[in-house]
Amino acid sequence: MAGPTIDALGQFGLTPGLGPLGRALNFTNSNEAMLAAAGIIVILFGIGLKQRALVPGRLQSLIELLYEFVRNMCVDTIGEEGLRFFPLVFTIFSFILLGNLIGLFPYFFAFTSHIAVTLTLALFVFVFSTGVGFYTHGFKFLKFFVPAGVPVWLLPLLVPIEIISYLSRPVSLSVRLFANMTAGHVMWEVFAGFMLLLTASFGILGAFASVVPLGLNVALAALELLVAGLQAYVFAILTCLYLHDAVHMH
Amino acid sequence: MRLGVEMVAAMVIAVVIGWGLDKLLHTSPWLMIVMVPVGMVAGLRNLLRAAGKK
Repeated sequence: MAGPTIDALGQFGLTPGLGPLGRALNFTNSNEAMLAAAGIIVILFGIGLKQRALVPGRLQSLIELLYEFVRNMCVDTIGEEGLRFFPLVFTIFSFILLGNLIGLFPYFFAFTSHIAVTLTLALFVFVFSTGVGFYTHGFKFLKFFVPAGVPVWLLPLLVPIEIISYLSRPVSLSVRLFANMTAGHVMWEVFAGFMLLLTASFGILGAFASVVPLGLNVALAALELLVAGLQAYVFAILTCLYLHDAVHMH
Repeated sequence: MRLGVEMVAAMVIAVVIGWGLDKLLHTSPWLMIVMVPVGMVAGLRNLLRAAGKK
């Protein structure tokens, strides 16, 4: 009997979006989700900040909360001059947050579950922070790879270690976000497929038993909401941390 | 999860650099072998740094 099977990874497949035009331009459902995330941010901020009320309404206070949150993160991590990078950090944070959140809805695509997307974001942050380092300190930035207060004979050993540690930043930054999002969605799919399998193999008894994976999925939805926010936060704070290293060199 | 990624990422980068240099210099597989302990130490360094900052 060919019953239902669990296809956990099929949800990450790319399909052409926007009809024949999208097929010609290789415009996929992932790009649609990115546009949706960016659009939602712009529209939400446009509506929320139109009033400019002294006593903010619900939407306005939500946006002010987000703004203050990221601003404090910038100032606390990078220092006062971190405000220069606030627009960048805020853009990255809100884009990833919205991408994670709309990926949680049925029929939407979680574009942060593709390593191509997260690696592009991470490489951008990496190249940008390295550029900031060289811009601020010139070639003295290379001293970043030479730990202070170490005997000279240890340097040939320590400098490669520091360089590898520095180069591994974009990898860990991208894999963390990608793995968290992918794992959550795969788990959802597996539990949902488990319900179908139970019903197919045990009939009415299985249908009753499938309450258990359903309950697990509901609990997982709460966890995924947490992960979506947390991973956006982690990505943003690590961006701040790397910029701090680039500006202060320690 | 966070800390595990830090370690593995350094390993991966070190091995990839070693493998690439081997290809360039035709010294396969020696540079890759040399880079493995370096990558492990860099991973530990990452780990300590990440754990200390939090």
